[in-house]
Amino acid sequence: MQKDRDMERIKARELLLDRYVLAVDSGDLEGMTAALAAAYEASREDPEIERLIAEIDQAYREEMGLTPLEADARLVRELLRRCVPSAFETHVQLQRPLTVGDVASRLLAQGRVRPGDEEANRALLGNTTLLPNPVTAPMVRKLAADLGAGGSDLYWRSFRDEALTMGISRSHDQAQLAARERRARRRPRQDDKKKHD
Amino acid sequence: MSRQNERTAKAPAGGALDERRRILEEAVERGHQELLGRIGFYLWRFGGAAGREGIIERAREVLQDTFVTALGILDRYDPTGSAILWLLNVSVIVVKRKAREQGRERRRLTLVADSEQARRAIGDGRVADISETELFDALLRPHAGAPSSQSPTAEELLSLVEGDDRELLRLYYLEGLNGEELAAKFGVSNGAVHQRLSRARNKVRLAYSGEGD
Repeated sequence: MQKDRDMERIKARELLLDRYVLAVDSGDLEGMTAALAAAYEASREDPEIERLIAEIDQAYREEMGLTPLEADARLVRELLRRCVPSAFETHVQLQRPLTVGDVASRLLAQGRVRPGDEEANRALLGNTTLLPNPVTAPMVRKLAADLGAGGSDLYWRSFRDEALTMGISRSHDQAQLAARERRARRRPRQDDKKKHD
Repeated sequence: MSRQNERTAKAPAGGALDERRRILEEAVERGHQELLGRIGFYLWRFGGAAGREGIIERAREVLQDTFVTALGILDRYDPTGSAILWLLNVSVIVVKRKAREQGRERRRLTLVADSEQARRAIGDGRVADISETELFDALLRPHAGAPSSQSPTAEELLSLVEGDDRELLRLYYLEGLNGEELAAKFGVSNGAVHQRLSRARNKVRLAYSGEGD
């Protein structure tokens, strides 16, 4: 019975791979999309699928002379920092005051920038101006005027909301990080104590 | 990401979305190089990118749009599935959107033989008359004999292809070598073995249906 189940799993897996390879070989983007979606669904039950598709993609890249782009990975990490800063926060970064660029990046990452405000938000990415303290509505209006930035009233209301949220979240993260560090410092002393007991 | 599942699933609570976001962030952190490379490959294959520099720049743009898009549809991500595959699914949607915006036509290449039949078969989503069950039953159970007089045997199927394709299928299905052993024997990567196995099986299907003539 188990052998039959294994056979069925292998059959389904190979069929999926064949459809993926067929679509890529034939330049069929729709077919490849469907096969990739099927691979994602299948990966819930068969974790091997992810590895096999990754290996096949690697084979294609080698075949087409698209070797790994290590140098570009550094640029991607920088991209990540702008769009998903929470993935990279360290103790030093948590202590750093929030900037206009931080908030603009977060709004972009959350998909909260309306089409008409995209240009205004893009202009603020990477801006190192510190946020006002406190982040009141009049202070944010003054900030927008000082920066000469565009953007609708709704955009700047979202900006202020996100600035407040990030401020609260950062305080929370700082407290958690401090607690983790205290625990880490205590652990060796506790281990030493156990050794000598 | 089946639409039926999307319709029937309840919207996840905020904590669940945070967890999904964390999983995706970790996947991106660990796999950003791989994601960039694979998106670059998709752009090269489907997106009409001309040179390496063009690919790099476009892959970065697609990756950025993928992050933004993925975070906007977190409720559709099921964490029991592969995060990388989900992100690649999103990236393909972004590639397609960009291709539509640029008004490019999809390049289509024919498989095996430059034949109208092959193109119709691919477009129909049907590869050959041989059913998937018959193909795999013949290959995966080669010593069990054909289940019916109409079903092909493994030997009959292997005779439809030649050279390395036949040898690869023979070693894999009849001799029982696994992917790593085949990779060592042919001096290629594991991925290349599975890629070639898929291509060989697809050739068998087309040849069996007579559409590769």
